[in-house]
Amino acid sequence: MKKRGISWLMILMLVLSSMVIGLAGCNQQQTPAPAPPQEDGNGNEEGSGDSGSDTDPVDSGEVPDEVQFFNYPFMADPRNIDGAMTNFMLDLTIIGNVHQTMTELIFVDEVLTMVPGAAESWEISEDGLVYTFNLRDMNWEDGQALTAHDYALTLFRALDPNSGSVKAGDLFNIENALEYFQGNADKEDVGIRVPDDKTLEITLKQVTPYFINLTYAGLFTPTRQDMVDQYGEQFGIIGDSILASGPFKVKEWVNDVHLILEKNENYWDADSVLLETITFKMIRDVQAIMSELMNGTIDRTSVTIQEWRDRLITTGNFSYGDYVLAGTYFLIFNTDYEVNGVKPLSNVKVRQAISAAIDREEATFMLRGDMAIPATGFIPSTVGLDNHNFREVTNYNPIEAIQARVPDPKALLEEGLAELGISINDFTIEFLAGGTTAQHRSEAEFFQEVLQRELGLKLEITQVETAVRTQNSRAGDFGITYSLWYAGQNDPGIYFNNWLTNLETHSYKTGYDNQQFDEYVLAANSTMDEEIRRHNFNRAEWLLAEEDCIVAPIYHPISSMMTAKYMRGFVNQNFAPTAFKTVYTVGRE
Amino acid sequence: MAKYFLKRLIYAFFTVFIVITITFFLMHAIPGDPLGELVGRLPQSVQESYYAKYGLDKPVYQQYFIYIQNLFLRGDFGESIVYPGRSVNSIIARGAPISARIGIQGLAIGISLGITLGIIAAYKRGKWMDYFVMFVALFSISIPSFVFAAVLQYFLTVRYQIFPVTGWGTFAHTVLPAMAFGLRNIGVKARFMRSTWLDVMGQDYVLAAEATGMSKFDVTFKVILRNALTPLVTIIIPELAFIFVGTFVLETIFSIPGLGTYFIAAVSARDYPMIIGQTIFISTLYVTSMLVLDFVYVLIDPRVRLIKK
Repeated sequence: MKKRGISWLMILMLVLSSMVIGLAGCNQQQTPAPAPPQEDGNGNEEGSGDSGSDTDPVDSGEVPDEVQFFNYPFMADPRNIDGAMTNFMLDLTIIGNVHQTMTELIFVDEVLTMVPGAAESWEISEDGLVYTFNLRDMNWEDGQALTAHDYALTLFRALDPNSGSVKAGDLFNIENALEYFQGNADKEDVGIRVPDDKTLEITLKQVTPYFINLTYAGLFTPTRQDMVDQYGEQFGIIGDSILASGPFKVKEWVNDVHLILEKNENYWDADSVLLETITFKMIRDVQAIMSELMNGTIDRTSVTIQEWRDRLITTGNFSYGDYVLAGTYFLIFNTDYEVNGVKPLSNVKVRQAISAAIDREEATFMLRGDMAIPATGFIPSTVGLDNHNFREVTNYNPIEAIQARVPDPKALLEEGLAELGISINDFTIEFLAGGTTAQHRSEAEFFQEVLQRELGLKLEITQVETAVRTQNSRAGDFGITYSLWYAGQNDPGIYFNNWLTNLETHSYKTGYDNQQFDEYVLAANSTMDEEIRRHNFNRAEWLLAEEDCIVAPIYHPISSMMTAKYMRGFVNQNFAPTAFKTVYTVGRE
Repeated sequence: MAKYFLKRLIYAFFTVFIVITITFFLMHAIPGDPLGELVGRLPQSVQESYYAKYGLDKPVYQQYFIYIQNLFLRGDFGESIVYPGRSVNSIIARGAPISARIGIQGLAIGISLGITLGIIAAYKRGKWMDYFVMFVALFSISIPSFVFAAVLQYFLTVRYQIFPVTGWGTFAHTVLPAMAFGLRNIGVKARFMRSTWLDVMGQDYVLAAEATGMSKFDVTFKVILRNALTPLVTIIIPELAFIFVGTFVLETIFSIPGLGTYFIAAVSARDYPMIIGQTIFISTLYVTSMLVLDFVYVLIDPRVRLIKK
């Protein structure tokens, strides 16, 4: 015991002394000259993303560095690198880099546009039911030819009832896909066919406008049968099981430490890929991510907290771009909410009064500072409709509309309550906060204060863990709740689905029941005609956010991408998995 | 003697078994389930197949019997729900040594420095050195390890870039978390050592040893140190179980791929197999360390005799 204690003491002293030596030999980090903060892209309602300062054109005459690498932080370990199975953003980022999706979605002249990926070209039949993809010649990382069968396999794996894939539901509009999933149809009957090695043909059972949006996501990546057979349950879970078809291949995956990708020389477009290595470092602490960014051990991260954004900008070492994200924070009213024998939110005037009473500018400033823009609609300003911007083509702002319509919210509230035969002192409304963090608490308190101030309406805040909240909102166990929705697809349709009447499960159960709304949404979702889609989506949004006022959009979040000054070539990829194949460095020290 | 230990072993086994049972039903009783967030927006048929895949469609008591069966017949803790395809066994096997390494290094720093400071304080009793050491001890006990960790991280990784901020793989990665973990131990051990040392110094056998003409060095190291370290063993052994859990917060701050990551995430995500697997692991360790402690007592202190009831 005695000896051991002393030897440990020696080790400790060694450590301490080396620390002291280290301290003496290390210069204090230079205090960088403060740069004036740029007002950049905050009002960027076009959602063109990487605005100006973030991306330099490739042909600027700069010489790329000899050694090309890029370090990027992940806040958690990826779960399953398998396009057929995963819905998880970090997994999709890896998939976007190791696989070639069927198509790609990028900004071309500030408009999100689909460009060829694995498919050199694709056709949609006149009736909108048959999609034909013509594949280019390409190989797997081991040199074997990549065929349309490999793409079909991913789709079939997602539809395999035994796999329990969360992605299966996305494919149910394919002919006989649901029946196959339920075990009532054979594989041959499913509308996923491979006429030859270079052609994939998908037949839908009904016109599905958003279907094409799946082709740049995880489901339309290839899987090779022999790899699935070899790794079984471990497929996609361990690094060795991931066979690349895209610009990078997996070099090493140490769980919870890092996942390293290296250039895939067998990628069809390998000549244009400059990066040799990408290291995804798992860093679970936000403060640590900021420290690593300052130290140059990671090169880029997204910042959603104003304080850090401002601090990083003043160092002058980073270029940044503010994106308006394709999400909306909004209040949801539960029309079935009952308190003391009355249903205060069942009256539309009460709901409209609440929505009209909230100043969106104030809410944005108080709760998000510069990291959000006041809502311009329920559908975020970044979402497109058939290659146009949805907000622009509909030219409608439900928030302005409701505030113009209700000049005196308090009077309207009184009117509504009179119709219900109750007084404002008869009830308090349960407000279900978004979660347990301090931010969720401030949000809830903000609405509590504003509605008390503007309307004299009393809210009681409930704050529960996410798992419980999910359950409560599905069961309709709330009066008003605050939520954020991101769309996974560049299509307005997905935002409306929760409010359809005949759903088996609602993410938020509100008791909303309007056949007219269902008709609008279904009409828009079952045609390829842009004019009809525009009209019906516009009407659906009008009902939801103004006329029936089931939701009150508040703001759209902004993410600030902080990038080391020597990084080049990022392209903004809203909706599609983030790929880094165009990235390179110039003048990294 | 052997009979006594057999009895203790059976008690230990039942303790763990009761812990498993209570944890199992308790975690199913709290609202929220592991799949809610994941499958909430999916069609009903997909949701059902998901619940069936993890056996969560069955009544809780059936799930319990299946779990107990798998556990005792095959030593199988099940598969994580949040991280599909990863078995709880493999996650513990990978994470435990990492948490343990931080814990052991931290404990080593705490014990060695704590003992030294404690002895110094005892010898310089009532002098400024004593007061200084006791002040340091108090200081180290009152500062939470995560505060100390944040300070260390700022000064030694950002301001002076000596150690890596986060990561795992080299000795450099372990230094700061171990220091942060060890800090509190320094204070605890120093205070403990000081009082024990003073206690032993006043014993008759020390006086007797001095009277036989032993050198001061021999008295210090052969008589006092040996006797003063014995009680220390009793506080160190139970801590061995906690080297796995004491580092949880630090693991997040320094992004260390130990057990803590999974444990904290598992509880809020309701990842049932992970929660119960880790509970079993830690409670077993604790119960075992208690058993070991009983055994060690008998070995190191002949005065302790086990008396049959």
